[in-house]
Amino acid sequence: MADTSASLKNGAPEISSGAPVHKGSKMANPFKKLTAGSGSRTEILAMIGVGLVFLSIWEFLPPLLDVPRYIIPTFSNCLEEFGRMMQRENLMGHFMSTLISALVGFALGGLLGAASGYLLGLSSLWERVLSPYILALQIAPKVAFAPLFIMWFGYNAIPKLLVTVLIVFFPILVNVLQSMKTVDRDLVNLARVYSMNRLTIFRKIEVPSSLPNLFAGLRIGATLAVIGVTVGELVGGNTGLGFLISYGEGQANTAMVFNAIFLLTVIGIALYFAVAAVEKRVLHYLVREDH
Amino acid sequence: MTSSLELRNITKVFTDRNTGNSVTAVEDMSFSVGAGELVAVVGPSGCGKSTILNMVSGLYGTSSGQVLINGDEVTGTRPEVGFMLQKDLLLPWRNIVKNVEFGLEERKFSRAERRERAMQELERMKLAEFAEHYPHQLSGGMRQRAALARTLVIEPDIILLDEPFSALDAQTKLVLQRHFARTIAEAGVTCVLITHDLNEAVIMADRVVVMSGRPGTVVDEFAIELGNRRDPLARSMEAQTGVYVKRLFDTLHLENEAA
Repeated sequence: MADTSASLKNGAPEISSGAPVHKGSKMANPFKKLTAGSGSRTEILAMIGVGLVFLSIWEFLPPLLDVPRYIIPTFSNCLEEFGRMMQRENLMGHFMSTLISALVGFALGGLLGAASGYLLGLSSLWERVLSPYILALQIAPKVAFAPLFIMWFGYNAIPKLLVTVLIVFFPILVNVLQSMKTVDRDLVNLARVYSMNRLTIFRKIEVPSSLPNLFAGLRIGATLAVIGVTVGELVGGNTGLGFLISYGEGQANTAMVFNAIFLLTVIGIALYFAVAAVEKRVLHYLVREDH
Repeated sequence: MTSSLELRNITKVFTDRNTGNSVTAVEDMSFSVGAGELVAVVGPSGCGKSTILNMVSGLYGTSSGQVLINGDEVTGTRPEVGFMLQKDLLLPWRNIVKNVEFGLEERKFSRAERRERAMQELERMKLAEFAEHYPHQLSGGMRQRAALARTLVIEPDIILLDEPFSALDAQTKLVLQRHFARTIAEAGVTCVLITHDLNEAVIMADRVVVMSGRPGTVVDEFAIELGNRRDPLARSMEAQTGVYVKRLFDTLHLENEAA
């Protein structure tokens, strides 16, 4: 009769301990400076000022020092190249290809990671049996799998999608599993006193309790998704911003590389803030400490 | 309908997960609670007070001995038992009225009926205007009242209170003790109050059961003959209260421990 509480409670080795990837909820918000601190007017002016100073240094300093444009293209060089890429290189097509791959990879990786986290969280036996393998896979550098996937699946969209799924999968798995193991036992007991069965307890107590951790994992996953896609495209492919980077490199077209990196960053930021916005709506009941 | 509760020669042995040693939490313990009675259980920390509560609520079984509710042996959780802890155990993702409805969700009520019962209970607790608030927006005392509403809304025959006031500040505690005393007396439910606060035990209970340190067993048991259980504040003013508290104090050998 004590089975449900006992089996979940025991001190099985923690998968996440010692693992290199993020302790989820405790991770510092990398964009905190951008989201918070938007308080005073002077701060905003200073922010814009720093940006302008940076842009003008970038624009005027390299020509002054005779740095050639294939080493550091100026801001206007990049803008010019951006226009050319829009017209000649189907930049929008490459951008959309990367964006869609990142989104699909993120969604699939997130779904699989969350589902595995919940399943392992429900079965402490399987968690213990699988934890060394999960730990090993988690430590293995996922991007190194990219050439392997290309050997297996060829030069198409599948390898980059797989790398993305794999890289997104683990932080979400680990975060969800961690939260399943730290659900308040007293809440579970309360539900049991109210005669709720295992499934109802999962649905009404464990899943809602795990949401903050799930979202922490998703936020990490959102930034990692862009890395996954980029590596996939760099290693092999003929579409996407990652491809443009290696294409630009081959032509010594540094401005093209700069622009591709810029757009990749834009995708990463957009994904991150989309997740953060959903999180804010879903977890509205949490007291926020960051302001 | 109210129920009586009886613990008959209960022993509970746990196995320590890390060392594999057996730990006896409660040993050969017996006491009973009559229908509608409020019995306080006091004892040093670690004497297995919470273990009793878990066995009565059916969360886990005894190693030997029986827990009887109206003469029936407890073999699992049962719908007529409600429990409440020091933590309010409100679900932070639900607003107050939905938290109160939580205990009704396994019963055969329609959605509207659930809402109606929950609102009635909240009105009784003077929390109706906070029905749509979330737990984090309420004070500690209000949250504990909401938790009592959730406990009582299932119309339990027996409620188990495990130090429900110990996390509150002194003033809130007084107000809440009176509120709980009244509400519980009106509902007429049988109640076990586990506490380490000797004064609280005396002013709230009909009878006090004193437990020894681990392994816990009953070392003293006596009735509190102060009357007027609805008003613990008035009870606390009576001279006899001090005598009862002194008796508890002596039984638990607190003087020796302080020395």
